[in-house]
Amino acid sequence: MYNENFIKDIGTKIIGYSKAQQTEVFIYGNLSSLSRFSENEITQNVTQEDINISVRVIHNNRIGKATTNRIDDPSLKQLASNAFEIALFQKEDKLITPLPGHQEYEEIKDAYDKETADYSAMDRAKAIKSVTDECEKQEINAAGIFSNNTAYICLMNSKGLYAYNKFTGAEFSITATKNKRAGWAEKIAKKVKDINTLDIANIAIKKSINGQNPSDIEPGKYTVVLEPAAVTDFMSYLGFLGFGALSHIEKRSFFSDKIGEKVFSDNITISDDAYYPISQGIPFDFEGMPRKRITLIENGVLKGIVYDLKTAKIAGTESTGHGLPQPNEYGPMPLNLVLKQGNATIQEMIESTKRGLLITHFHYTNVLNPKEMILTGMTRDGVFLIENGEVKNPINNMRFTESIPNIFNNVEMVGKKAILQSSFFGDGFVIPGLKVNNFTFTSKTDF
Amino acid sequence: MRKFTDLALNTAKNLGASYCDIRIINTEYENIKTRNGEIGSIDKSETMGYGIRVVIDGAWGFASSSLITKEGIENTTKKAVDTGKASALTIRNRVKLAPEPVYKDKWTTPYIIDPFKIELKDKLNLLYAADEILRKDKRIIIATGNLSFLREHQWFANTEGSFIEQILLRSGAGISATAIGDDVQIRSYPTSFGGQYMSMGYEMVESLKLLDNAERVRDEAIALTTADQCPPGKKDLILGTGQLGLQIHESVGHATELDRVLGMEANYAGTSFATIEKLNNFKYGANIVNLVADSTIPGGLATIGYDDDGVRAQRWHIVKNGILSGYSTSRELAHTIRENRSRGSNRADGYNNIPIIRITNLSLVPGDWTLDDLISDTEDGIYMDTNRSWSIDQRRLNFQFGTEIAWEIRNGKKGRMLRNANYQGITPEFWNSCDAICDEKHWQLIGVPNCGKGQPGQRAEMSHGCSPTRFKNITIGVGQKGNTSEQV
Ligand SMILES: [Zn+2]
Repeated sequence: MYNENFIKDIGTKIIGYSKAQQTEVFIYGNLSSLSRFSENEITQNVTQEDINISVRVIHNNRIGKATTNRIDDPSLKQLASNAFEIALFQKEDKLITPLPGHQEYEEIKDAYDKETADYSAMDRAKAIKSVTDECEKQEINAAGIFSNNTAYICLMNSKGLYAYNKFTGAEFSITATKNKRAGWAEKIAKKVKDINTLDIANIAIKKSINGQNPSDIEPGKYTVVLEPAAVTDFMSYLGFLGFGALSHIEKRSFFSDKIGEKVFSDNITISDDAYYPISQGIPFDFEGMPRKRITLIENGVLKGIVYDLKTAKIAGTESTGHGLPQPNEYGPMPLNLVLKQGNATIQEMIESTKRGLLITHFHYTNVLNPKEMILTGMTRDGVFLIENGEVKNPINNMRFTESIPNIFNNVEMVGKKAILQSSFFGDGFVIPGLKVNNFTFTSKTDF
Repeated sequence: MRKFTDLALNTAKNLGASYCDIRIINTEYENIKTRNGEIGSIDKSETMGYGIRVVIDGAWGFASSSLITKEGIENTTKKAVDTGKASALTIRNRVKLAPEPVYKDKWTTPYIIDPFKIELKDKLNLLYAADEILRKDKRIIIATGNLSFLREHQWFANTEGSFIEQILLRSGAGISATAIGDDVQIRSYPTSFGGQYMSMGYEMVESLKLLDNAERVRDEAIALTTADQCPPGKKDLILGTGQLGLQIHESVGHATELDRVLGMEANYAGTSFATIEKLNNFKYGANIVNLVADSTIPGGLATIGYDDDGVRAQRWHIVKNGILSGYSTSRELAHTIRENRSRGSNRADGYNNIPIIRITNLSLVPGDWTLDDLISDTEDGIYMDTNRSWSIDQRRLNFQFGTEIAWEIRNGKKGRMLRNANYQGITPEFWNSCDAICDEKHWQLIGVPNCGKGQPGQRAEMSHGCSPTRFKNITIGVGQKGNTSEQV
């Protein structure tokens, strides 16, 4: 993997080659390894190394952009001239925001861990083998992944901005299946040593064993105790649909013109915080602006949204450091959501429930109606009936159709333990479990 | 290229690999999106790299890199071998590849106009012209245009002696308008999420006539904001091709990928209800339902000469006269269903991923109805078209799809437009309720350019041919406001 000086040199060269008035270079590189197992053996095992160099130029209020993975000098020269040529063809854009100059960034603690970077295929295989041996002993089929990766992001421009961040990450997830009944568990962390694969596997194994002989219940409204992974999908779509400035400016968000209004239950506080200890955030956004901590929802009241340079200019405010690679059609997005912990354990949520469902996570959640933020998705890998404060028998999977505002307005309890969960966008969100009332299931399955 | 491919194959053999293949890929990609008269995004990239796959001690290893030098290839091959040796620690079944003839061949997507030779200015002018029509009404808050072109020049070589060069080209184009009123509604052309994609040159873009359709797209988006909500209930459902393509993809295509069926995707995309003991005896759909996989069909996004196992493109039934009749397979897994040859559906996303089983072009064979006759024949129904939302469970049984637009059908007449339409069903029940399929005049290929699968995540492209089709007595209007609890 290339070191920081080498990467910086590439960026400096490109800026030198560029004939444009303003030039920005974005370099992303990674060394990622992932072992995948199913039926208690490793079936796929990959190591990928790559570099991606993107140049964005602004010339006479026109934008151009080009990308390559070639690092030889002629290719870098060609890259700079390709981006410039593209800009010459564009229409003038008066709203274009100039590239920012030098910025100061906060440090992300423990972003890089050498042990994680050096973790080998054999290290992963040994860890997987101890898990699959255990599963075989219990007549369980295990499928899952164990991955570790190192990546860097470098952003620099002709106005003196320089941002570099190198980080590691690891992930273990497992689906344990016995007689077609599955249990699932996952852990993601910056350091591979924080992942105890056998502990995680045991959670999945237990869910699979407890999931035997399910019964059917009818769809309808239920109280649900959601483990953190089950809350992730709602947080992801909430972040995607609700907190970006562009959808507010265009008045197509459920939250448009509602800043200062009570939108969720009192016990809901949500922020975007790349610096939260277990977050895997980056201290700058894709325009090089420092990523700020932003309170989005405080005790149920909509407090703020996130901005990039362009939406900040339109709205007459400052960037919060949440820009995506420019230009893009999505506008700014929060990538490091944190749902503030409450004071209940999952066990206490169960004990306080007369009749309800305990849910591990959801599958293939998607938006039915973006304005109302109505989602649909399936339960997966462990649904259990709760009766009179106790977990009873497993239940066949069901489909929910419910709106995000309904969900977060019916939160009775918030978990005291928040964990980092992978999310369909962003760098993983920090999420506790929730107890939610009046949650709507609309159809069922026979498994 | 031979020099590099030979180096990888020889290095792998010397390190003890029993099989090795290398794919070197040069990719040219151009994607331009306009949004409200400005550049929404622009991606113009050129990349080069390679992936090396080995079988060693009976297990798979893989490594990829973009460093095309002697040293780079040797190191990457060694990494692939080390990874394979680690896999071997856990294996219970040694990798067994179904035999395939050795090929020395070159295959190229047929096309007329090279999209990379069309000037950027002309492409932008087309999108800006569409944008102007779309935004002629103030109620349109977002107008988008999309053009996307991809050329992959691939060199494949394996230790069995095959050397295959392929140049695959595809084009994509589409427009959309989002209107605000009582509600926010989107309308797209020719299909949603970027438009139509086909393995063709720029001639596809020209054939779409984006500008001729822009006014209708705009007016329908506006009309949708005040249209009535799709009512809840059970009705006969006619799906237009812009929705049916995705229905085929999600409820048949993924369900019959053999790796899913065998549990290899259990931790991520999921498994399948269409398990192997059901082969040749399970009633997947009504007798008139025939679904054919075809990697040779002109224009299909998955139309290739050879897959990434080096297996020649084929055509076969997945569902024949309503019965489950086949799966998408690879050289590794063909033997698990007692087949002695792969169907050639093992494909990788670029050079830095391993091939995994992928849906190829999968199409519903046309019937003999005209659309007019089908509507006249429908007493109490709904016509839905253009996918807006999709969700299906991990075994591909319970699905719920939303569409951009719908129309009520009463006593054989297409009536009022409806918004926020959706329907829900269980895969085999749904396909068994199919009672009428329109003819080949209404049949078209719908491109899916964004199919996600695998860990690390991979994207693949394929097309689904279909014509408007009717399904009887389907649950519609799930979760409509105020009706949530009643809809079970
Ligand atoms: Zn797909």
